[in-house]
Amino acid sequence: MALGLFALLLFWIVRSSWGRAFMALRENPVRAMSLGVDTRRYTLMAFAIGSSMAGFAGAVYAPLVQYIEPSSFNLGLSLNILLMTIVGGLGYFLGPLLGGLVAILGPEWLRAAQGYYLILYAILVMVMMAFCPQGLMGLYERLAKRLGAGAETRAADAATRERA
Amino acid sequence: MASILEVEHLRKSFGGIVAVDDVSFEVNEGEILGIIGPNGSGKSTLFNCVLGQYIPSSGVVRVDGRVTTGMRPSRLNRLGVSRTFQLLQVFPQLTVRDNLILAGQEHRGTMLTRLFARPDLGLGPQADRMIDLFRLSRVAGEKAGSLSYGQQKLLDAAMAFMAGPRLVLLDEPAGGVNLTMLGELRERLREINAREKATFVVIEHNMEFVMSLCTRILVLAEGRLIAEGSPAAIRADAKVIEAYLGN
Repeated sequence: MALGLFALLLFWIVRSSWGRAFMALRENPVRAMSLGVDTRRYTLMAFAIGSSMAGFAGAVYAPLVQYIEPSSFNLGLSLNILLMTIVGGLGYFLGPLLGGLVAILGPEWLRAAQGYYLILYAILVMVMMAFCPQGLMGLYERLAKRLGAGAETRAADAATRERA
Repeated sequence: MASILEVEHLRKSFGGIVAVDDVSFEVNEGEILGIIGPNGSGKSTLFNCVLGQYIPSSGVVRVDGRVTTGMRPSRLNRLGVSRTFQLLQVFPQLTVRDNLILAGQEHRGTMLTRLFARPDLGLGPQADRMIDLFRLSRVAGEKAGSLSYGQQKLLDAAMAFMAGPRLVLLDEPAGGVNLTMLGELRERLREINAREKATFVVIEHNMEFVMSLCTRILVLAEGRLIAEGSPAAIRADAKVIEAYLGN
């Protein structure tokens, strides 16, 4: 429920003029500033939105586990969350969701490897960073484009054959 | 004629190097002023000081009589001062249309009202006018990064005009643009100058382009203003010829 609600809220923000300004800020802050984008305020808002989401996540996490202590929010968790966004694909709306799935399910799938799972996981992430820095969504986009282009060439080929 | 931009005794140094040295000039409303000079003569630094990208070491910049020295570029833009950059600066991941809407959106309402308004903030028609004017309709829905260099350059210029600015500073608009596109660009600039009464300051290396577009020209060499006058006068000026060709 909370996920759906926040996804909707985020989707709305991303589609609004704010989303456009955020993207501009990411791509070229100097140019954005020259077009009147108040980079300081938008950066602040981006942080505020992100932090409020994290805060809300904490608020629903507490009743779920019914017990919280500082050690459950260690550096490892922060890194894991960062990893989710990177593996999923930075700048893609569905990126963090996909990354979250991988980060949660990955260890389960790799359970057979027992103690080695972290090493395997790290290698997977490094390979991905090297060959597909845009994350899983980027990979998907590239594949879709290639398949689309392939279909187009085939269609063109068929059309030429038909004419001949 | 009222002056829209006044620069007084502007000086900018980086460490021991003086890039702009005691430059003063005025830009009159509605004119197209050209700034020329050899590479490294301080033209772009001058622009960056006027536009708030750099804070001048000393001197005063006034827009419409109001002191704007060191004002943030985003605020200056909302006062009606717009610019293009020497190197291509569009947002490659946004579509052509979104690039244009972005260029106008910060002039509409406040940040809060913009969040609750329609995504295009009613700027769609204006963006479409710009797309038509700069002949970009065939690529309006494409990502800006997929356009040819010349088209991106046109988009870059179109973005500078999106918010209906009063003063536009163009840094080498003709750089790397082919002859056909160049003619196109010149016509568009003239059209906007005549119709919207926008004032231009143009830095350019392409002499033919400057001479045919501008009504008045300033010449910079080694950070100093060495000549000022009509295109014909500049062409004949001995100091200018010396600065470009050496002794």
